[in-house]
Amino acid sequence: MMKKLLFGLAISSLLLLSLSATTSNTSPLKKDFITSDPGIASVDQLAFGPEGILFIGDSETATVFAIDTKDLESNAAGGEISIEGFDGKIAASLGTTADQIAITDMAVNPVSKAVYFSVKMMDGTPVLLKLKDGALENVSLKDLSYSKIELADPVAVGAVDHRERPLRIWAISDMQFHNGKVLVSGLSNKEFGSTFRSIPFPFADTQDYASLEIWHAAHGEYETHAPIKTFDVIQLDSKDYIMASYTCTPLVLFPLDELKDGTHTKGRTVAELGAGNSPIDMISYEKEGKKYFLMSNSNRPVMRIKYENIAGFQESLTTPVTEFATTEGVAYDNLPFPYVLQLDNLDPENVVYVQRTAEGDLVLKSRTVKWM
Amino acid sequence: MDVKTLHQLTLKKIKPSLVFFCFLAFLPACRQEHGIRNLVVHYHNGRAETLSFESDADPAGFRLIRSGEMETYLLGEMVSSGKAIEFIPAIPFQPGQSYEVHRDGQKIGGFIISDPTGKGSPEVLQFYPTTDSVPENLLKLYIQFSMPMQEVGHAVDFIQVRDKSEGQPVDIFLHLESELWNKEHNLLTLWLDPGRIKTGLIPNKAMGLPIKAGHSYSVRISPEWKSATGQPIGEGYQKTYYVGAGDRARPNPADWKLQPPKGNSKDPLKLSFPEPLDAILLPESFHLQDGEGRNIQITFQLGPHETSIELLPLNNWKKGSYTLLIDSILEDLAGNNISRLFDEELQGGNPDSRVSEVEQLDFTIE
Repeated sequence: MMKKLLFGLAISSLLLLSLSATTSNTSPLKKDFITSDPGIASVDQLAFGPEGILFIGDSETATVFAIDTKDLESNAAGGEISIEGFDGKIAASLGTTADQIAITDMAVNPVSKAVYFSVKMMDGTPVLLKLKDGALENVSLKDLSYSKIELADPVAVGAVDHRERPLRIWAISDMQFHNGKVLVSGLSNKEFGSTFRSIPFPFADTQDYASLEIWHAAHGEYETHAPIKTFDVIQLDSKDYIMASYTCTPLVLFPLDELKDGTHTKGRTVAELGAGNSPIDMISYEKEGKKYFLMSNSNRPVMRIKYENIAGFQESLTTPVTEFATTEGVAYDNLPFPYVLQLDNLDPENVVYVQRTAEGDLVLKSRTVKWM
Repeated sequence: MDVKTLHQLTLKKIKPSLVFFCFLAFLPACRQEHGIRNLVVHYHNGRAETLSFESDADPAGFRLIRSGEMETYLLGEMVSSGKAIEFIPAIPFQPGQSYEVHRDGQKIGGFIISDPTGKGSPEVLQFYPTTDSVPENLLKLYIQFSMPMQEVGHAVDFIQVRDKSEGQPVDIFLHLESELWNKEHNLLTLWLDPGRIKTGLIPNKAMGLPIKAGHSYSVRISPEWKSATGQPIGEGYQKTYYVGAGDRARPNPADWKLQPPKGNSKDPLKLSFPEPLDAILLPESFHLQDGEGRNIQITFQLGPHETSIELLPLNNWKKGSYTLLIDSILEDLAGNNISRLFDEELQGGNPDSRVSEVEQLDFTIE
C-alpha cells in the first residue's frame, strides 16, 4: 500500500514537473515575459533569482533584464570544478585569445547549479556562457524570453519643459535578488553619487526606488558620494541587512526594512578593512551550524568574518584611521586565497571561484566550505 | 552612389575572394571525400558573422577552431540545407584571427579575418580640460578618441600619470570595475579619486589629495591602447597639467559676461566665464527661451579652454527679450556646481531625486 502510494506520489510529482516545464511562462514571475531580442548592449552584472530567472545588469543601456534561462533541471550539488587556463578556454571557444576578452561576472543557478559567466569582447560584444558538466555552452542573448526595467532618471521636478536630457552613463556596480526585489547599486558619470535601488520583481510599470546613504566612519556624517563596490544581504537576529563595502574597504550595515521609496537609510560602519584595496565579491555560507561571510578583494586575500562577530559588534566606527592600510572593527581572518576575481556559492557545501594564481594562470575551482 | 558606398561594396566583395584563396592553399592537405567547396565568410555591418561552404559529408562532423588552438572548438551553430552548410559562431569571427575547419581531427580548410573597418589606428582627439592649469581639487578628466576603443581591460592601465616635480609615477584615478565610457565608447570619463578630494574621508586622510598644488603632472597614453577592432594607437599622446590652488567656490552666473548678438543676424550669443567649466556638461546645461517662454533651438560651440561658450541659432535672431536657463548641474573643474560645492555635505536626499534647480539670465537682443 505504502509502495503504491509513494509510486502515485512520484507519478503526480513527475506530472507536476512536466507541467511546470511546458508551461513555465504561466509562472506568476514570468507572466510579463516576452520572447524577442531584448537589445542587451553589455552584461556587467549577473544575479540569479528563482525558477532559473537570471538578472542581467546592463550598464550601457542602464537597464536590468530578467531572462528565462529555462535551466530548471534540479541538482543538489554542483560537482567538482577544476579548470586551468580558464580565460584561454573561454577565448578559444569564442574564436579569440585570452587578451581579447574579459570575464565580467559569474553567477550560479541555484536550481541547476550550472555556473554562468558574462564575457565582454574587445568591441564590447556581450556573451553569456554556461558551464555544464565541464563544457561551455553559449546562451543566446538575441532570442530570449525576458522582461526588463530601465534605470531611468526620475523626472526632475522643476526641470524645464520636455527637455531632452542626454543619457547618463550608468555603471551598475553590484546586483542581487532578495525576497522579491532586485537590489542594484550604481554610479553615474555626471553627478557623482552612489545610488542604491530596490526594484520589486516582477517589474512593475511604476518604478519604486528607495535610496541608501553611506555612513563613512571617518566623516561622522552621511556621505552620498562613495560608490558601493559590492554588497550582500545578511541576516542578523532574524533581521535582513545590506552589508556594503567601498573602495578603501569600509564595511557598512544597512537595515533592509528601512529601504522604502523616497527614504534614506542610515548605515553603520562595522569595520575598516584597509586602504589601497577594493572589495570585489561577497557571499555567505554555513558551516557546522555557524554562519560566515566571505569577501574577495583586489589587493588583499579573501576575508572571512563570523556572523556572530558582526551581530556582536554594536559600535559604529567614527574615528579616522590614522595609519595607512591599518584595519579596525569586526575581527576577520585572511584566507590563503589572494586574487580571487569572482566568487559565488556553488551549492550549500561548496563555493566556486575564479582566481589568478601566483604563476599568472587564471583558474576556475570549486572548494568545500569545510576548508573555507 | 557615393565614393564611400562604392568603397564599402568593394571591400565586401574582395574579402570573400581573399578568404577563398586562403582555403585553396590548405586544400591539398585534405581528403577529397570530406572536402569542402566555396568557403565564404559573410560580413554584416563590418562583422564577420557567418561562414558558408558546400560539402557532401555529414554537416555534424565539421568543427571550427582558431588557428594555434589545440583542443577547444568554437561555440556556434552548424545548419545545413542539402550540400550547403552554414556555421554561425556564437560571436562574429574576430578581426586579426585565423581559423580552421576541422573534420575527424584534421584540418581541411582555413581563412583569415582582416580589420573590416579599414580606418587604421585610433587617435586621441582631445584631453579635457584643455587648459594647462588646473586646481588641486580637480575632479574629472575626459579623453576623446577618434573611434570606439577596446572594451576589454582597464583604461587606467593604459594611462600613466607622472608627478614631474618629483619624477614619480602616481595613481590618481578612481578605479572602477565598470568604467565610465559614453555609448559610442570613444569618450572616457576619469574621476580623480573623490574619496581623496573630499576632506575628512578616510582616503583623503590616508593619502591626501590626488594631485598637489605647485606640482606639474604628465598624463601619457600608452601606444598599446587599442581600438575596438584591435588596432593600437601606436603613437604616444601626452598632456601636462600645472596644478594651482584649490577651487572652493561655486560657479556664479552673476559673474558671467553675456554678449548678446545683433538682431536679424546669426551671430553667436557669447557667454564668458571667469574660470574653465566642465567641457562635457557645458553644452548640456543651457536652454534658451524667448519673451513668450517658447524654446529656441540652438547649437553650441565651446570657446578656448572652456572659458566661454557660443550659442548659435538655427534662424536669424529676432529682436526682443530672452531668458537663458542654466541647469545647476553645471560644474567647474573641481566639481562645484551652481548650487553646491563638491566638498560639502548634503543634508539627506537621494542625489538622483534632488530637485534640479535652474538659474536664469535675462537679456535683450536689439
